[in-house]
Amino acid sequence: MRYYESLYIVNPNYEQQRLDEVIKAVAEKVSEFGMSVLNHREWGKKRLAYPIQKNKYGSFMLLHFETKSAENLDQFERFMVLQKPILRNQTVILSAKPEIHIEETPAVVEATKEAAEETPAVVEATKEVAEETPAVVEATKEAAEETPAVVEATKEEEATETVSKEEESESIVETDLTEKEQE
Amino acid sequence: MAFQTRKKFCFFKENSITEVDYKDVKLLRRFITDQGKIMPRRITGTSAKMHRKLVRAIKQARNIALMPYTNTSTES
Repeated sequence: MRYYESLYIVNPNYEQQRLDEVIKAVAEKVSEFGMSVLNHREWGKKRLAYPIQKNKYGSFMLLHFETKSAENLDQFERFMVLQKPILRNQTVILSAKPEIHIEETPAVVEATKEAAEETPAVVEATKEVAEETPAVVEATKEAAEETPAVVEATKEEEATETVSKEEESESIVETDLTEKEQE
Repeated sequence: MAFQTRKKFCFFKENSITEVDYKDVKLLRRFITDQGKIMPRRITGTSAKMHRKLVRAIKQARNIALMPYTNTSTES
C-alpha cells in the first residue's frame, strides 16, 4: 500500500458552503479512482508567499489517501489541475508511514469540556469518601492539570493567528508608504 | 584563544530529526536567506544527507506557496 499526501489551495474568496462542495467533489473523485481517503481537513487560511492568480491568501486543504497502485494518480493530478476553485495542488508520497487520523479541533474542545465536567464530580466523590482516598485526589489533580494544557494550546493557535494579522497590517502600511513616495 | 571559531553542527542531528516536512515552514525558514535563497551547507553545517532532504522540502514548500521563490523588497 502506498500513502500519499495532497495539499491543495482553494480560492480564498469562497465561503464555507462552497468550500465544502469543493472538498466533497475531491473526496468523491478520490474514491472514484479507487483510492481511500484517510484524512481530509482544512489546514487553514494562510497568506501565500507569492500571489497566485492575483490572490494573496489561500485556503489550504490537506488530504491523505492510500492506494495499491499508482495508475490513477496521473488522472487525479489532471482532475485537480482542471478544477477552477483549486489554485494549486501538490501530491507527495509519504515514506511508508501509515498516517494517523488527526482529530478535528472541535472534537478536542469537546473532550476538554467533558474532562472539565468530570473533574467536579470526582472532587465531590472525594469529599464524600474524605480521608481514605488520596490516590483519587491525585487523579483529579492530574485531570485538572490536563485541561489548562489544552487551553494553552488553543491560546497559542490564537496567538499565531493574531501575529499573521499583524504582518498583514504592516505590509499594508509599507505599501502605503511606497505609494506616497511614488507620488 | 582570540580566534576561536564557532563549531558548526548539523541542526537535524542535534535535534535527532530524520525527516524534513515541507509544511514545517518555521523550521525551513532557518535555512534560507532574507532573499529566500537556500543557504549553503558550508554555512549552515547541515549534514549532506539532511541537506538533500532539506532542499527537497524547501522546493516543495515553494511550489505550494508556503515559501517564497524570491523575496525582493519591491513586492507589493
